[in-house]
Amino acid sequence: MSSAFIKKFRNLSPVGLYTGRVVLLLAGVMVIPLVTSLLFWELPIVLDFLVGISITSVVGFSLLLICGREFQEISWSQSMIVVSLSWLFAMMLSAIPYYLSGYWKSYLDAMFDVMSGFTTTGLVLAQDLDHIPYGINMWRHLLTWIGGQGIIVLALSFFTKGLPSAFKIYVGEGKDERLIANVINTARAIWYVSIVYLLVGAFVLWITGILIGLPVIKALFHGLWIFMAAWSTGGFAPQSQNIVYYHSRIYEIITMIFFIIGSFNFNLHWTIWTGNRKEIYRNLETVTFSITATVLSMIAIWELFKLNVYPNAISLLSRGYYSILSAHTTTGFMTIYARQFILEWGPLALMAITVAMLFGGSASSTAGGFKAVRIGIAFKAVIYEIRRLLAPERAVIVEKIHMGRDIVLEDKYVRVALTIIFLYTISWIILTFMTNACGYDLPSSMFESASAIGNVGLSCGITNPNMSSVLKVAYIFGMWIGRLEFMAVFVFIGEFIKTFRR
Amino acid sequence: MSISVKILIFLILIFILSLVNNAFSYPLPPSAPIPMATKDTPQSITDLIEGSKTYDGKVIEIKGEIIGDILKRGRYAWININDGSSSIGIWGAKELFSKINFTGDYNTKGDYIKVTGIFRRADPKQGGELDIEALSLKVISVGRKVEHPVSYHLILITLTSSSIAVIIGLIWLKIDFNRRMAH
Repeated sequence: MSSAFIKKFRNLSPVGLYTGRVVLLLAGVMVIPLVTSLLFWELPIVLDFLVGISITSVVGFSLLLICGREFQEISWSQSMIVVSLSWLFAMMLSAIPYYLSGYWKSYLDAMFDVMSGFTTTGLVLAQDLDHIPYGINMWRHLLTWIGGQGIIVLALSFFTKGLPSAFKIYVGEGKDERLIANVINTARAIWYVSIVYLLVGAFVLWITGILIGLPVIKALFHGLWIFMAAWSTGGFAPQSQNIVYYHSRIYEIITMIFFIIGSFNFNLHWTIWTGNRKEIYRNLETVTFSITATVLSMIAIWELFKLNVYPNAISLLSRGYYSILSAHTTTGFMTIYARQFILEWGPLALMAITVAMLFGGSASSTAGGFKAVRIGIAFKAVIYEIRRLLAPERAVIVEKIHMGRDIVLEDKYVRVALTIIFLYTISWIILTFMTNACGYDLPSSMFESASAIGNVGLSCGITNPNMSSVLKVAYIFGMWIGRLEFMAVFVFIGEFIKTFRR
Repeated sequence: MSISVKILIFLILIFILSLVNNAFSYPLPPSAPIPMATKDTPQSITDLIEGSKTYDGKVIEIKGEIIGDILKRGRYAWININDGSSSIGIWGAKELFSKINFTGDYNTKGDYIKVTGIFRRADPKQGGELDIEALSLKVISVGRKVEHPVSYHLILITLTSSSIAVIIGLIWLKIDFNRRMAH
């Protein structure tokens, strides 16, 4: 064996060790849908999950056997590879039960839906969704719930002692703030907040489900799944009609409350949780989100009103406002049918919802898109430049942002914010051209691409099992880089190319 | 005010809201009868959605399998049907749906029905939903329980993969145990 190979292997072995742990954890999580299938006596699905657990365990244990040493400090680039590789393994292995169940046309379709779940996008390629078993539905919604909090965050919360490089891999997953000084405790705090909300949310939706006519057991599971999808801004639903299936304004209002709360920064949740309730009114992200959501809603509602799309105010709010908020929080819950966006919404309303999808929710949350903090920083930077130009030459101008505390706006914050916004925009344009090249009209291509890259999940009908495989792969890639916010994937690809060049 | 009190108030509020919702949404006046001779027959639910502006307000006839549940709301009820191309919600007087035997899910193939009703692109009575107000319903074929047999291939794959996973897991545990003892 050449020395170059051994050196390369040594560099990669810590990566394999961390990834192996994440993969094994995934095998453990698969027990939940397996138990669900057992409860409802869905025997073929039980076996599908047993195969999934076995193969995932084999991969996980193999990685540990090959790379297994004590956890050691890893570099920033290695941590990025850990995150990207873990997500890739998670996508490929989580698709096993999907594919075996027979509800997906191909393994690519199954992987598409897994990536859509993990990235909390919500685009669906499953066939015959209305006859899908409980176990598979549990897995679909569990994936989106775990993905919202973060696969790495879940893995970190299971480590009992300090882990070198924990913060590096935590950052690699698109989260950059610690709620508590210790990263492992931060990961646990995120799960603590999410589980408390899950218990309350599922209960509220369960009771509401019974009141709107669902059988008691079904109302319980629908409540649980819809909450998981709302909180993680995922947008999956157990029935093909999504939220339309329930035909209930109250169910819509409750989901709206939960997906708005879910789109907030975990840091903001923690600040409010620990007693500082005024933060919600001062935080740059909530202020930015309120402004952009209001402006975009008004544009869309004006257009819908002008075109007489909906007959009254309730309809405008229930279809128009709900859709804009669902897009802006990157949830993807739908109260209208996919094709209605293109057939009925005018160009201005369509533009408003596309922009809302690109803007997205808060950083360090379950939401995707540019993120409110970056839009806020970009706006503040413009204000700063105008103030600087208007002020006398010797005057010192200071612009501040409030994120838990007042922070002086420095060039480095503006640079990072604008870089990410630029990368999102470029990726969206590329994806739009690819979709357009596959034969879809430009407005539809812009809409669907924004939905994929912004991890939203609203669809105008392009995403379906018959779309081209090239586009499916492109959307998988778009969802992946959108969720991990580019850097982890870029480092992974760079390292991959470097390996093959040598 | 403690957090539990707030949760309680929130739940009560939800309950009241749902009652208000039920109270205002469902005691609807029946639509004026439209002569059946004017009815349209779209090819599929997708065709209906695509041509929603054309079919809006007309009496249409559509076929499909009932999926999910019958959602009863006071004197009215909702059902959802799927014809393989798409799904759509249908509402009407509760008695109309009393002849339904099976609704579709994993274990059941739902009744295949033919519905005649008024199609609305944005129903003002239902918060702007695209739906059908049922005037009549006929069960074309009764649904049935669906068996899901387990294939021998799947059992074989499960046994093989589980055995390999257990063996590799045990090897790793042994190596890890030895490593810990050595430390």
